[in-house]
Amino acid sequence: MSEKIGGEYVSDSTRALEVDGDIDLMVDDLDLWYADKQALYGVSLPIAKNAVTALIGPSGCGKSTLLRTINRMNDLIPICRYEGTITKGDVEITAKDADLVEIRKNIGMVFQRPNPFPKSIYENVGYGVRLHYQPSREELDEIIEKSLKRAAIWDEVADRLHDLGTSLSGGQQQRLCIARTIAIEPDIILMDEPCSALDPIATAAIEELILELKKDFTVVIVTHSMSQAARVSDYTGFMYLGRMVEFDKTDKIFSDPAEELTKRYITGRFG
Amino acid sequence: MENSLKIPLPKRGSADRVRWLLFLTSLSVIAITLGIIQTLLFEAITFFSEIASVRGWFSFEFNPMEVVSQTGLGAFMFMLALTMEWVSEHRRQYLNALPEPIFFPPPWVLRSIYGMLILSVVAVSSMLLWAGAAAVVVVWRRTAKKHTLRRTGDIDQADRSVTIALGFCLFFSLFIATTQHYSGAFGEFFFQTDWTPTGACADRRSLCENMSFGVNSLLLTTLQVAFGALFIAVPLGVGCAIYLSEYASPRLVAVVKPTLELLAGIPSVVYGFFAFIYIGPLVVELGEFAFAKGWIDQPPNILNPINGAIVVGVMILPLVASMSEDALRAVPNELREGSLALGATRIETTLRVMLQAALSGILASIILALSRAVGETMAVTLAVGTVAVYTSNMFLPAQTMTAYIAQRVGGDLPFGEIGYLTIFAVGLYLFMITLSLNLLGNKVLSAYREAY
Amino acid sequence: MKKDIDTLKKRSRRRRGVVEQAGSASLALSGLVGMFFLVVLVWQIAIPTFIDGENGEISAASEYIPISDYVLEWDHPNVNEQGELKTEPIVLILAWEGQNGPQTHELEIVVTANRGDKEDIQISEEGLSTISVEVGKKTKFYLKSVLEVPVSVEQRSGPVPAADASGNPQVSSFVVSGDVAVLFSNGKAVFEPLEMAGWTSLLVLTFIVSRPNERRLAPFVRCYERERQIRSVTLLLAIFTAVIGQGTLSAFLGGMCWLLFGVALVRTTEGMKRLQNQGRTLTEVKRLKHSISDREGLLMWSRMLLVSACFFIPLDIDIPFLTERYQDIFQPYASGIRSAFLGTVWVMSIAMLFSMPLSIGAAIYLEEYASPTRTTKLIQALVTNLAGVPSIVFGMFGLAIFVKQGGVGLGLGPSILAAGLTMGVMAMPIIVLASQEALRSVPRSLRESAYGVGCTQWQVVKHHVLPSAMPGIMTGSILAMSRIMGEAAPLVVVGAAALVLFDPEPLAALTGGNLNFTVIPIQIYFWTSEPEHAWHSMAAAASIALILLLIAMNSIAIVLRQHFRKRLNS
Repeated sequence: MSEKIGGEYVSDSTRALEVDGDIDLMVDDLDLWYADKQALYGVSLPIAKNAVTALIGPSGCGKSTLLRTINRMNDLIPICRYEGTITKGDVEITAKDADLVEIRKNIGMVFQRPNPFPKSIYENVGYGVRLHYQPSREELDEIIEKSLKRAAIWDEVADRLHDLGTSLSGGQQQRLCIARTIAIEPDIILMDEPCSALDPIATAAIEELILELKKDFTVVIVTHSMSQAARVSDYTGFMYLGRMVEFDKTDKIFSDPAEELTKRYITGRFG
Repeated sequence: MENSLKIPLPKRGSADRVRWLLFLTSLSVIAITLGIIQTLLFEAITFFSEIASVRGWFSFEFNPMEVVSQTGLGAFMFMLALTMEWVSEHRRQYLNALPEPIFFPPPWVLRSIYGMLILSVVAVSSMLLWAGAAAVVVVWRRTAKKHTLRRTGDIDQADRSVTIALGFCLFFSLFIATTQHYSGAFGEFFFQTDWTPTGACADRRSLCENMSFGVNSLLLTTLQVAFGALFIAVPLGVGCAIYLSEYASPRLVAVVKPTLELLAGIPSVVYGFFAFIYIGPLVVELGEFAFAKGWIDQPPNILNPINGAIVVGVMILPLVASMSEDALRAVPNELREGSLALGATRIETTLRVMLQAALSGILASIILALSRAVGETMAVTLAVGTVAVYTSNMFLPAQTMTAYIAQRVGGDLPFGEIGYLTIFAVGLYLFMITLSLNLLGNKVLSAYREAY
Repeated sequence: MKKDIDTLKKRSRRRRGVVEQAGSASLALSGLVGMFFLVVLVWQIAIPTFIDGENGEISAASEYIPISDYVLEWDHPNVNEQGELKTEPIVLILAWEGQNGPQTHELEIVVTANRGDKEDIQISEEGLSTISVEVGKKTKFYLKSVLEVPVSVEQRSGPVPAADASGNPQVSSFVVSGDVAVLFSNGKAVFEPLEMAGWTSLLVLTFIVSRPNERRLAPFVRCYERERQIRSVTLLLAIFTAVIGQGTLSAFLGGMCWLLFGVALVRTTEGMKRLQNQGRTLTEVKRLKHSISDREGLLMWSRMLLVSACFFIPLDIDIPFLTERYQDIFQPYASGIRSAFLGTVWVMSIAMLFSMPLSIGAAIYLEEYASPTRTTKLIQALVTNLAGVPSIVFGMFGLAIFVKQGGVGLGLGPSILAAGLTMGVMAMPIIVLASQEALRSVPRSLRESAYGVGCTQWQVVKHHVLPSAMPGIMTGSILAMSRIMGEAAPLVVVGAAALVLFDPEPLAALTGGNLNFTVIPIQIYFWTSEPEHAWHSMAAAASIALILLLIAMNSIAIVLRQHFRKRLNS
């Protein structure tokens, strides 16, 4: 069965999706509406463990919406409602009585524009830890050092941990936000166009960081830059007009995509 | 040039005339301010000169032994703060030797110090001592901040303003600690606490023995009412603001905001009437209870500063609430999302992140509300009373600075008489206080707006 | 998967849940307490606090002042099922403990069809001043007691339309009462025919223009070529109405109705003509509406005029408290705020007249003309700081500059002129700030396009920027006016009188007349300071009147703002 999207016929978007290795999170047939306007149409997506999954597509196709639904950030928007399931292990994320705090503890998010709190660097990174645990002073110092090292920013801020987080440069702020997110050791890190507000050098640093991070975490990254997706990710999902058009290993998508629509996007015919 | 369309062209030069006209109108603003200052100044100077012609300008008794007192301790604290500040500005290398925990103690230590400081306001009897302790804490935190900067090597220009301010405070507290028995025009006005400008005199027109002009009784009542009002308005107002901006549904907001605006629009005489008729008796009941328990030594009266504080508090509540809400709203939404994405609940986000981010905006609103409370006249005249006393028992009738002015003008006031002049002296003092509060509040507010 | 962080002690979720709920509850609570106080405040003030005394009993005179006023009022005439007047007299028994023992007297009330005279019945040791009184269908009369003991009132016989369950007549001491007559009262018309005609014509025309369709507009085709005649006829009618009505407020409003009617009629026909010349039919309602209405706020002005004239032309509202009575030292309940009301009107007018041109001019200069030199920054800082100065300081400024003679004083004395100037000075910073906001909100593209056509700076300001910013300026001015209307402190300093028994003279300072004046907030202040309890009730009544006045002004500001916002957005 196929449907016509954007002038092209695509096959059923709910066909079996496969990944190598374990699946950390599964999105199953998700429909989402903003008031009466439907934004996602039956999206299904597996997220592989310890791998980087990229979501690409033209603007407005629903990538960020999908991402924000995964950690229930869309709950902040009153007119948003959805149907379908997202499951992580044995926890159903989309359940009405789901524990949002636990979900967000295990699924972290890095935003498009770096948003460090107006506190010191130390306090920024320690914020999430202090929220959920009661660490002693030494334990906290250790965790903060570890997180900052993992985020590849320790050398730059080691001697000014008590400076305001907002006094760093843009790239450093984004790495600080990543450090903040990984301090509580989530299983999955969601990244919503993390480099779009940064210069190319900072972008390169972050991309390197992502490749490091995937050893310990699962990363889902939304990006409008196809080259970034090609560089960084293991799996890529192409979305268009709220539908998941194609999902496959990155090499396959970028060398020989199955759908005509994907090919047109990748070769730059639209978007 | 040929004007083939035969349309009349505007005359040149008329534009300049218009410009000059408009400039003159805006000069009227300067004229008004100058007029106010001139009026108050001239009459106040006349007032002080008249008193000085009989009682001298300023004299006091110097008694160095008195240093050993609470005020002296306050002076010592200012000296400590000044030393710390100077060292951190000019001899930063000495700070290296000190261990880190001195500047960054565990959070519970910090919080308990702040808490003790705030609570001790009511406990200490000498405000200078408290101010000294507060100065020490403030300088300590400033030094801590600078301590980290030195490691990255950027030491900015030595900031002299705080040093100078601390120097003044030190000098002032030393002066207060070692001197007593002030008299003379300035001495009596600023240091004495007995305000009877209408003492029993043979000739009311000029100065006589039984008149005394210690403004501190009026000032104390004004501060009692103003800070009491803040005590009511700040928790309620900030709570309202937080609730409205974070939790309330749009429908509730649509109902509450107009009600707040309505409350803000009620004239202050009506509040005064209200205090007189309804709140006075309630406070009297409370006072009877306190009197029975022996907490206060005199029975309460229907006119008292607590009455005034409650009513002025409700009057400035909408101001605090709306300005705090604006401040909270100005905080970018990304901060909220960032906190929520880490697994914080809404209340934790509000208390831990949003309040801190909006703090200077809220502080500005508090300062401006304080200024408004200090300048309030009609409500306090009706609620607090017309007898100037210097007492810490807030259940007895007293008189604020504004109420004194309102009461005095009710009588006969021939130009140039001493009674006429007192209102300008008190008015000048009041104007200076509110002006400094306004300047401070506006400065904090514009700094906050720039940040966001 | 085992995480390193799991070695840390977890924060207790349950405890955190409780703390979170407590925190959320306390926030909600403080928010609600704030709102609650507000509601209580508004509610308390709104409760008719000026009803006193108990039904059926006149309390001891020492509670009030020696003469107490009680009113017996009938809401409906005494009519039976056939609509005929019941003429059976009503007999009241008045009883009290006199000096020589208990006294009982009868009072006979005869209801007639006439309007009846207001007659006061005195109760004293000797008895009643009259034992029979004639009342009309709707009338009230006063029982005034000079005794110091309570007098009880009981009805023995006769129909009592307004009585409670046990047949006792409703006795109320509610003296702040009013009459509202709609069109007719007692069979007599309450309106003047010319005024009514003008008002009705405007009403009909406004209705047609706001909902135009071909059928309704058809009659106007006849007016096509008669614009000039229409204009002159309505102008004549307007003048005629005003003159015939001898210049009272309702006559003036009636004249305005005629004028506006003429203007609107002419505009309507012009619009219709234009539409038809374009070849469109009158069935295109949208175009029609756009063409004839909402141009210069015609509809808005006519609606506002209709609403305000409604209170004076078709309705006859008589509230003596506001419009007739002055302060009566011996009868607090018979007092009114007429002098205070007029004083407020005069002071506000002078203040606005004085401050608006200066403030708007200063705002225009600061926003449009001033270059950022130090003088400009200084002026700006001064304006912002002046807005926060306590009101009493403005009063002292006014005292020294306007009132007193000597030094720099102008020597106007404690008069309305000095008060108006002082309040104007107080309003200036507010209006300047509001006007600056309004001017700032005009988009730069508007100015640039005007410059691009070759306008001089003043032309740009006058023809483009000002009209666009005018709604904001107007709203700001009205809000400033409502703010200073409630201020009493400066006027206490300037010297408002405590007791004003006549209409105030606005120009008394110049003509050497009676300088006494008062405004409503000052009246409230002085009445509250009186020891007698009765004056507090009157102060409450005056407070309610003041608040209603302020609400009316704020509503006008809101209406203006809405209208102009709609116009700018459409």
